[in-house]
Amino acid sequence: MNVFRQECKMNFRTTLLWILVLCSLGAVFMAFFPIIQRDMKTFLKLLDNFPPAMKALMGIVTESFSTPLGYYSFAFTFVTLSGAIQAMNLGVGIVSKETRDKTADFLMTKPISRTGILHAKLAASVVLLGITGIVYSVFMGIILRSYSVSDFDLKKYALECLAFFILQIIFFAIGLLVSVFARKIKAVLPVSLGIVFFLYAISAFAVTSASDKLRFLTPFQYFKPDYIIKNGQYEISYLVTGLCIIIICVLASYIWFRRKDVHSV
Amino acid sequence: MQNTIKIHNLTKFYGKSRGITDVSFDVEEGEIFGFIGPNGAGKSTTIRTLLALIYPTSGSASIFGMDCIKNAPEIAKRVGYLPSEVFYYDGMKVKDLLNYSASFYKKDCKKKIQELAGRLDLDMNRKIEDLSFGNKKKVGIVQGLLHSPDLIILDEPTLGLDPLMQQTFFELMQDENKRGATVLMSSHILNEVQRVCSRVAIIKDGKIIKLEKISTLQETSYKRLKIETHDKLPDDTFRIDGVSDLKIDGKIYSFIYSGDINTMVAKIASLRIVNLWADEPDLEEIFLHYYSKEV
Repeated sequence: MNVFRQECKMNFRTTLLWILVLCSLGAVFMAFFPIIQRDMKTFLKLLDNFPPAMKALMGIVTESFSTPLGYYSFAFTFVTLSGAIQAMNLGVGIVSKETRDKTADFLMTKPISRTGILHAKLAASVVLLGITGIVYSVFMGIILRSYSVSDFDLKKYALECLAFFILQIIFFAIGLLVSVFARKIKAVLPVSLGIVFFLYAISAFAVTSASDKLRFLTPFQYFKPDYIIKNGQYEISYLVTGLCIIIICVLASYIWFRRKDVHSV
Repeated sequence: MQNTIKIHNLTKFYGKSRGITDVSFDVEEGEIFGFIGPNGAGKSTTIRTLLALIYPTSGSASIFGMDCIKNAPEIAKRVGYLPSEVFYYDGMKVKDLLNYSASFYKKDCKKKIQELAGRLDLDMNRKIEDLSFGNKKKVGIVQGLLHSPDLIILDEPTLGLDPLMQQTFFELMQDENKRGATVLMSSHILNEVQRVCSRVAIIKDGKIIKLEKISTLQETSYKRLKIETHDKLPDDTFRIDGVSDLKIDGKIYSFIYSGDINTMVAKIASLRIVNLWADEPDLEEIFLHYYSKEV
C-alpha cells in the first residue's frame, strides 16, 4: 500500500497537468463548433475537397460532422493522441525512473517482492489514468450536452470515453514493456514520443490502405468514433486485439521484471 | 556461532564479461566483516547479489539461513543497506524519504530516526536534491539503520564523508554491532577496514584471494616510506626483509614496508636522514607487491 500511495503522490502533479491539457484541447476544439455549425454547408463543401485519407486520419466523417458528437470525433483524434502520449510517458517512466534516479537500490532492497512493486506501480497508474479519463469525460460531457440538449446519446458518448481509457491502458502497457526490457532509459519523453508517433504514422498508412489488416498494427485504429456513433458498439476483433496487447505486455513485463538484473549506476 | 551470511561458489557474468567467479566466504553472526579489493574487483557485484538486485549465474548465497534470491523480501525485513551512490526521489524532503523507508517495516522507527539524525547532524526538513554529497550519504545511513536491522550491508560507506563524519560513522557502526547487528562493509581503503573489522575478505579480479583475521593483517601493517638521507648510501641499504617496490632517486629512497615497524625505525635511526614521509599505501599498491604473488 505504501508504494502505491507513494507512486500516486509522485505522479499526481503530472497527471493533473495532463488532465488540464486534455480538457483545454477538447474545450478549444468544441469552442469552434458553434461557429462551424453556423456555416455548416460551406464547411461541408470545403471538407468534400479534402483527400479522404486525411479526413479519415483526422476522424472527420462528413455525414455526422454537423452533430456535436460527430464533430467531437474530429477533436477526439487529437485528444487521443495526447492521451496516448500521457499514458506512454507514464508506462515508460514508472519503472525506469527508479534506475534513472538511482532509487532502485533503495526500493528493491526493501521487504517487498518485485511482483509487489510492480503490482503497486500498475495499480497507481491505472488509478491515475482512470482519474484522467473520468475528469476529462465528465468535463467534455457537460460541454457536449450544452450543444445538444435533445440528441445527446449518453451511451455512445460513454462508449467513446471508455474507448479512450482502454486506449490509454494499451499505450501504458506497451510503454511498461519497453521500459522493463530496456537496460536503461535515459529520458522518457523521446522514447514515448517516438513510439506514439510511430504508431500514429502507421495509422496514416492504415486508413489509406485498402485492406483493413493494417489497422491491427496500431491501437489508434482500434476504436473508430464514427463506427461507435453509427453502431453504438465497438468492433469486437479490434477490441479483443487491444485487450490481448494489454494482457501480453503486462504479463511479459512481470516475467521480465522479476528476473531483471538491477545494475548500479 | 551461527553464520549470518553464507556464500557458496557465487559466480556472476555480465554477458561474457566477468563479475565474480567462485566467491565463497561466510560472515559470522555479530562480527564486523570487511570486504576489500581494488575498484572493479567485484565487491559491489557480490553485495548486489546478496541483496537480490542481480541474479547469480551460478552458485548460491544465504542470509539468516534463507536463500538470498528466493527469500529476498523476507530477508530484507532484517537487513539494512547503504548503497555507494545515494538516491533521491524528486522533490522529497529528508523526513519524507525516511518515513517512506520506515513504512516498509512493521515497526515504529520514529525514535531511532530522531536519534540517528541527531547524531549525524542531519537537517530533516531539507530537500534531498539540495543536499551535498556527504549529507545525502547521511540520509542513506539513517535510512539503512532506522529499522534496527540484524544485518547491515554497506557498499563503500565512507566515500564522500569528511574525516569527522567518518569517525561518527564508525562509532555508529560499532554501537550497532554492540546492539547485536552483524556488519558487512566493502571498501577499497585497507586502513578503514582495519579500524573496525574483525575479519576481512580480499577480492581481486572477481576472486577471493585471502580471508584473514584483522589481527593477522595488523601484524603485517603496510607503510609507504620515503626517506631522504644526508649522504648517498649503498643501494642495498634498504634491501631487507619486508621491503618491496624500492625506488632510489638520488638520496631519496621510497618503498613499501610490511613487518615489524620497530625494526624499520631502528634501521632509520641508525642513519642520518634529512626528511621522512610515512603514508598508508593504497590497496592497489599492496596488491601489486604482496598479494599478486599469491594468486
